[in-house]
Amino acid sequence: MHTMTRWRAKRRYEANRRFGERADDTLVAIAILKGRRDGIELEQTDEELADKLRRGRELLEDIRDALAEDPGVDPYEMAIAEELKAEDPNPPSVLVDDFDELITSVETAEHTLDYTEGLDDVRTWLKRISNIADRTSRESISRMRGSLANGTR
Amino acid sequence: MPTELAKAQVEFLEGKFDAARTLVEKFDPTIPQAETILQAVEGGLDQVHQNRRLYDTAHEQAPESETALELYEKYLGSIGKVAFDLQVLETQLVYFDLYQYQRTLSVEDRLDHAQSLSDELTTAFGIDVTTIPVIWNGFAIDPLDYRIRATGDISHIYAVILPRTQSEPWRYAPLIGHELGHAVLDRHGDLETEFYGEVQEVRNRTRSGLDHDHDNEVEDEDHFVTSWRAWFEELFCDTCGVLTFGPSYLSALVWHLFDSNPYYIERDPDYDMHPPPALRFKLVTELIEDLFPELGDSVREYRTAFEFHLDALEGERPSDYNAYDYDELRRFVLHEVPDRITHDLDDLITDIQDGMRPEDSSTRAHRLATNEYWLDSFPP
Repeated sequence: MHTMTRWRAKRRYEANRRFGERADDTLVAIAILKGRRDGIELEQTDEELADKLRRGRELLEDIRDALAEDPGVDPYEMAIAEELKAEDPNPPSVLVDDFDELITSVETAEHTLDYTEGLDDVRTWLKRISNIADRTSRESISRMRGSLANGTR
Repeated sequence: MPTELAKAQVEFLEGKFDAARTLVEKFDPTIPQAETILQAVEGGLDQVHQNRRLYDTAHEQAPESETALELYEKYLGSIGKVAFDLQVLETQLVYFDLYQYQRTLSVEDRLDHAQSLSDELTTAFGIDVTTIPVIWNGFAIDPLDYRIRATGDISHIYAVILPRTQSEPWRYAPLIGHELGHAVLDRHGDLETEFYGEVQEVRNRTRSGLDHDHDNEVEDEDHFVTSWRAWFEELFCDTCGVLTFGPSYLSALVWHLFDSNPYYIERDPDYDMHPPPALRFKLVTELIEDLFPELGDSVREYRTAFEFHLDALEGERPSDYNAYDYDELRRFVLHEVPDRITHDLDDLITDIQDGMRPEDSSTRAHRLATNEYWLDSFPP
């Protein structure tokens, strides 16, 4: 009777994946902006770049809202925020301020399409978020496999 | 060169995709959403090639640059994503294989019953989904296209999983009402978010010492929150069971929940987080009292038997059980869910009271037959 529900594992995976995609897009955009600064020519239109940066900014905004415990936050984003809080020595209010700075850095890059130092921090945080999402999804996948023949829900 | 390895991996994935595509395209009956699913995987492969081009360009100009290394990492990431998409598609195909194969066996009648009951239920719930019944080893529902981006945020194809059994199908029919509740909840993210907000509020109150409602303290408040988030989905589905099957849901549920420890609260979130049977029973009896008290007596025998079972096992109840059975959260389900989802409970209750014959009903035949099977007398 008491078996893991593969439903929930899947649902978690889906949320993780969408999350990971948004972070990945922005990480590609940041790499391209850095490449441009260093004189590396990469095929990518300004619109594509701005769009990739926007997705990452929106993700950071969602996490910022979850860190601030705003009502109506998506449950999955709340879970990610809780992990970030648990891993960080600073109180949540400091994290919220940090996220505001990250959001400003991406927003500026969306307009100027120039690489700035602030984007280094954005990259670090997006990777951290992406790692949490990835870790959860790997666990979910192995649980899904393990529980495939345990159908009671 | 690592890029050669990556290339070989992509070629292998493309081979898998071609094999899956061939199967999907010639499948009979047609797989719903097939084209969008295939397109989603194809889109992932395009992304792989695009990331590869970016990496190659950067690598040619500055092989050791940070940009080149980061783009290599992103290239690998996009390969991993396609690999997972394909895994989803392959799992779906196994279900379809199983469904087609089982149609040729002696379980065909059972599959027909589950299919026709699922159609009746999805109409009652007002949801547009495709269900694929398969015999496996328990009651479950599996959303098959949940993670395929192109089909949207919610699943449209669900495998309805049944145990292999010779029991009459009316015995377990109400549990299929519960399972389809999961598909209904997929379409009610608003309710889930609202409920999570309630849980958060309860936690904040407890944390600030403002909660005077409960005598028993929860020791691990994170576990309390995790449990209730998981329990909500199951309690929501139990409510869907009551809303579609009326009194017979209680009878089928107490049979299904009969267990040596009805007060069991799972402490390890890595295991099954179903709510304790005692809590599910309490919610279902409250729903009956709220929604159709006049039919409460029709399943009195099952209710009394389960109450006896609960009394007998009182000693198994963990000391913090009362703190977990949080009235406010249970009442959220009790009061919000019936008003917010589509169902035809009132008409079903009238049909039961009138003693309508299942064969005379075009929209509730299976559910009338189920109530006829479970109720002490029909009409009550």
